[in-house]
Amino acid sequence: MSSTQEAVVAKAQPSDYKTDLKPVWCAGCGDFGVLNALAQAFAGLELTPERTMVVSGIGCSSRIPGYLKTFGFNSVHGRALPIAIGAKLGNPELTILAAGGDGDGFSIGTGHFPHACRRNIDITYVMMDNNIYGLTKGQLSPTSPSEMITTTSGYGSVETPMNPVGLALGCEATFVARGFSGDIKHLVDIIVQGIRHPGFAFIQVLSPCVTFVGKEQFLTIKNQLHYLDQDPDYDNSDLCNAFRVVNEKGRISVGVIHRSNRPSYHDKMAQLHKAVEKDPHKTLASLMDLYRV
Amino acid sequence: MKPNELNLGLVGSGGDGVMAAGEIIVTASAREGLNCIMLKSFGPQIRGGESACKIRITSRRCSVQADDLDVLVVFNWSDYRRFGAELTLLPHGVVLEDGEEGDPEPERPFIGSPPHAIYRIPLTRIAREAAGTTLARNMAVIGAICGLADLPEQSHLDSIRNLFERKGEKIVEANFKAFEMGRDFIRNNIKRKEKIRLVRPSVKADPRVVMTGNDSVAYGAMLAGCRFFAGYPITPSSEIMEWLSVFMPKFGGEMIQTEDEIAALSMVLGASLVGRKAMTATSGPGLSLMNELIGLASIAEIPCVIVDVQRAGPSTGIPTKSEQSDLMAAVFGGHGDSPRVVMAPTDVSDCLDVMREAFYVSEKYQIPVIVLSDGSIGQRKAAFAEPDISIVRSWERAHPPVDLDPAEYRRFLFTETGVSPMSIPGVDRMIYRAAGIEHNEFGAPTSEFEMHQRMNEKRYRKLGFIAEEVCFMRHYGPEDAPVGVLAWGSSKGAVREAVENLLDEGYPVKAVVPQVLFPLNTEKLKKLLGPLKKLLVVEMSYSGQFLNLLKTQMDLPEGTVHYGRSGARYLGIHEIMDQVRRLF
Ligand SMILES: Cc1ncc(C[n+]2csc(CCOP(=O)(O)OP(=O)(O)O)c2C)c(N)n1
Ligand code: SF4
Repeated sequence: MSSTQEAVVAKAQPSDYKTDLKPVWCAGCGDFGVLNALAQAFAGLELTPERTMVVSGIGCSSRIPGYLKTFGFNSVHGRALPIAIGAKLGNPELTILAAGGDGDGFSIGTGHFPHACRRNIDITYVMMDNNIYGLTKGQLSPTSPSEMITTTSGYGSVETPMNPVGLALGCEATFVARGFSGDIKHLVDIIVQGIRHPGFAFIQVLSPCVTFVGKEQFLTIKNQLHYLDQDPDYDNSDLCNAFRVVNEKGRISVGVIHRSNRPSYHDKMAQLHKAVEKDPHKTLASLMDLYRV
Repeated sequence: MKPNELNLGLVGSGGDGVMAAGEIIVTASAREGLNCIMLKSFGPQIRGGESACKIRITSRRCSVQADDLDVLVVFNWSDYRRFGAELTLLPHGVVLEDGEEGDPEPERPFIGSPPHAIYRIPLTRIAREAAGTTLARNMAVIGAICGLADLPEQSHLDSIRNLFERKGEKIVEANFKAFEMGRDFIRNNIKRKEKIRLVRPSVKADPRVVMTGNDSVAYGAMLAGCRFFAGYPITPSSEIMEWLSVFMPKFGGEMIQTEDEIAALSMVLGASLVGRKAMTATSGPGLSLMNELIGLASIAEIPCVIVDVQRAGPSTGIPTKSEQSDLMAAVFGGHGDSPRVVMAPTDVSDCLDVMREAFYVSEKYQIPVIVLSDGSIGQRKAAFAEPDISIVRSWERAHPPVDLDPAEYRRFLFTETGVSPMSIPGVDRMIYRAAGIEHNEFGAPTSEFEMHQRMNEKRYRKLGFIAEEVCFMRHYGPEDAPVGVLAWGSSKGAVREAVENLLDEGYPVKAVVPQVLFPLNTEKLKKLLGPLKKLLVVEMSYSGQFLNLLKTQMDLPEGTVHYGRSGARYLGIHEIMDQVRRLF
């Protein structure tokens, strides 16, 4: 009986993880690829939507929770990470993802990033990097390349761009990866690994803005891709190796750049909870003893 | 001249043990069933340096520190200079200072009326003889005070034992010795002054507890079911987080010290979304940083409690001193129309009750609640009758019905009360997308006028029900008094005592202190203020924030006068009495 029942239960489909809401993104926006990859990854992992939550900040990319049929929170600019962390600490049984853009995560929200890395709380952060502010229509982003002309850098940017992967490695993140929204299959694999990773997983997804950067960026990236998982010389547990691929000339390394096994926040918290179990204060009422004279 | 009360002030440098002495006196008094308040003042240095405490011990109810002192202990006259304005003497007040007979007179930079007498006690010599260290000077002082004011000796010895027990019997004995030598010196050398005797109650009162307002806030939160705290240290709120760091994990909760206040409230909202009762605590500058997220909690209808232990001034201002000047920031410091609830505890034990109420309201109405404590409450130590902790108005959020078709679930369903069922990840089947962006009933983004208007109506609708349901207002004095005082938060202490004293003097006056400042139950307040010919609005804000807030919510009686001044000095009982007398 049960075997026949199993036979008719359909495997989760990516479409099960998408809402009916039509994305507001421009046709050709890289974020469609990320949305599809997430839906496929969720289906592959057979995540229970009622136990999954995607938290974002504000930006074109941050609209993503609206299109995913899980719990979602499209919050305020730059705060996806701490909200996601709060949710994970609130209920560690849930699968929690944070998602957003380069402006969201590496301008206004930068302050939270090193702390997410060092705390190693088990969430997955998908950062859709388009080198520009899409939603506010084309201003300079912290990841805009030098000399890039934007609406707020009319003579070309005089700033050096920040490299999110380098930052993550410097902050001792335990899972650092880079993907491309133009290669969904590869991206799905990275996201699945990231969600499975028992700690903080950072995934930079190169996700071009066709409107304010231009369609050609897809090709530029595609032509330079270097797949680390197909590179027999690449050992992603070696941090020195990882730093070498942060800022390469002429090629863009994608795949899992680095992973290590540091105890997660939750492991340490479990230890702490165990340690305080021996406490004499078994009830809240007994805490009044602290104040009786 | 109140024989049923004793007011002490102690001032010295770090190492003099001013605070330790103060705490011993407070616990000893509490043991005797007395009521007690101890205020601490510190200089601007981080560690060490000068510090002072002001202690009021009384067998009556005790709402606030007294204006002037019966006994002032000066370990060090140069330190007195900084705190002199807070440590003025009553006409019969006496000073205890360290010194031997025949020592040259020190310079004594008195502020206010001169002392009735200055008693020199060889504190240093006593401490050396008794304990072999000048550190025991504070024990000699406690002994001297006990000798002078006839305080209960055994309770003080018990408190001293408690403090030093860990260090071994030798140390305890040495400190006892210093205590006794101090006491005997007074007995043998100084004629007893009746006026500074504390008459103890003949019947023992209910058991007392001693705690600070910050302890009380933290404990109250736990009692209310709070099991998540995220915060960033700031004076004078940090002790709340320190307390919770110890006890939250013991009761299965999470406490995390974040990278800033923005992260703190963000984490609180995340935890609340998944069903935890969650809070943060901060002071003015931190509240400012949280503003955007308060708007988010408001529009996404996420329960959360934010405690603001107010301090003086904008920016860094005077962080170690108290003021009531974050009221406008709490009520109106939002962008867009963002309903929230603002309530204020009036003293240490009230903190416990207000926290229970704050979580109740926040959870029931899915709305951010800001609790405005202040430095004077948060860091004061008070002895009072043990509170009843069994009353918890716990509230579980409205969940969607289990048999509902998930496709039909509307997180932001329009309801009569404005409260919609909130589905919790991992608990309920219905999933939804919450948003800081304006949304329809399902949570889908919208930018239409009609939906925004209806959603605003929904969110604001809650306020009417809240004002109706949680509208506790303290009031003192006869109902038909022609003159009234309206105050909030920590001002209650001075106002209440001023009113009681004025009633004793024959002035018919009453006071009203609402606990919920926004939304205010204006009907109820109007009834209480109705018969008034004159109303005095009292607050510790230079710009009159309370007055202005009241004006936005109701018409004040004709004859309304305002008394608002800067903080950094406590409101005095006589100060309020003077203001009220003028109205007659
Ligand atoms: C506090 C705050 N400041 C500014 C904004 C305006 N804003 C919205 S999205 C955005 C930048 C978005 O860029 P990015 O995160 O890279 O996302 P993209 O739209 O490119 O996907 C800005 C500046 C805001 N919403 N909130
Ligand atoms: S503006 Fe750019 S980032 Fe935004 S939706 Fe359009 S293409 Fe995508």
